[in-house]
Amino acid sequence: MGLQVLIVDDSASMRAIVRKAVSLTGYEVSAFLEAGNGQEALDVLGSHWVDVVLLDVHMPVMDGLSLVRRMRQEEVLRKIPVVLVTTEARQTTIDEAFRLGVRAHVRKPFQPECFRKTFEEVLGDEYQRESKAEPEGSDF
Amino acid sequence: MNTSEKARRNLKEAISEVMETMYFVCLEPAGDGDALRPEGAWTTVRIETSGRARYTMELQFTETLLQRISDNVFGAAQPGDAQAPSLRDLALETANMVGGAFLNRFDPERILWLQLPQWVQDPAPPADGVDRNLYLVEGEPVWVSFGVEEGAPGSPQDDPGR
Repeated sequence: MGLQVLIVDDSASMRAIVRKAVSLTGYEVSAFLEAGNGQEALDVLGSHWVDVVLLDVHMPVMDGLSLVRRMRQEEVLRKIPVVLVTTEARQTTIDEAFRLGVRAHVRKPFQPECFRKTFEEVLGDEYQRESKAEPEGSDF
Repeated sequence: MNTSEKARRNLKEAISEVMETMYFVCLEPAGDGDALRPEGAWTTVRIETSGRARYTMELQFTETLLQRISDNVFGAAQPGDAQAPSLRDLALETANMVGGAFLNRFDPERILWLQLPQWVQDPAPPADGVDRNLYLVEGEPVWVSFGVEEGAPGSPQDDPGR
């Protein structure tokens, strides 16, 4: 059973780049779900099973930290690992995200290897990689 | 090396990092004749820092280059079929990453912070004191403008996020 990955970013280009990077991690992904802001993400989370959320911070309508706060209010949603994927440089924002329960931070620009390591951290042994062979990390 | 020189060097490194890491293309210095080549349609985006100094970085890409990156990275069904809003989005996200990569180098103490990138509909000619350099990416010209305003309005204490 592959991962169901929710990518939340207001840039369609960045969602495509993240999708591509994750697909190179070696993890089997059964579905990429996408949302352009926190509110759209909540709609997706209300109707789909999601294994991990890859989340930008600055977005219109509902930003990333607001989404995390909303997720914490829901028993089911608060268990879903959230990974920040952002250029955000302010340490206080990152600290606040971790305080709210965000599990990891991937800084843009990134290499696919970053997602592989992050998935190992936040998903643990529950999910097996598709192949034991190392992915061709930089072969976009 | 003074602060401005360091910032300029860091900006070039940041653009290189984004191009190579995310798009697998290289930033190359332009030759003497490259500025004279016929200009097609351009997309201009700007990103600024706030805080103790306002660094303004403006990137001008040819739509040919953006289209090529889009085709390479996103695997277009039909090469060259990305539409203008998609190319603009790609340029904005590129500026955002360049800004982030710049601050990672230039401001590890996180005294500055990034504004959201902006699309520049009608780019003005470079103002006095603005550095403007030409590079090549995939053989296509990329103009990079860089300006700094020391002691700009705002300070780290004004940042509600800090």
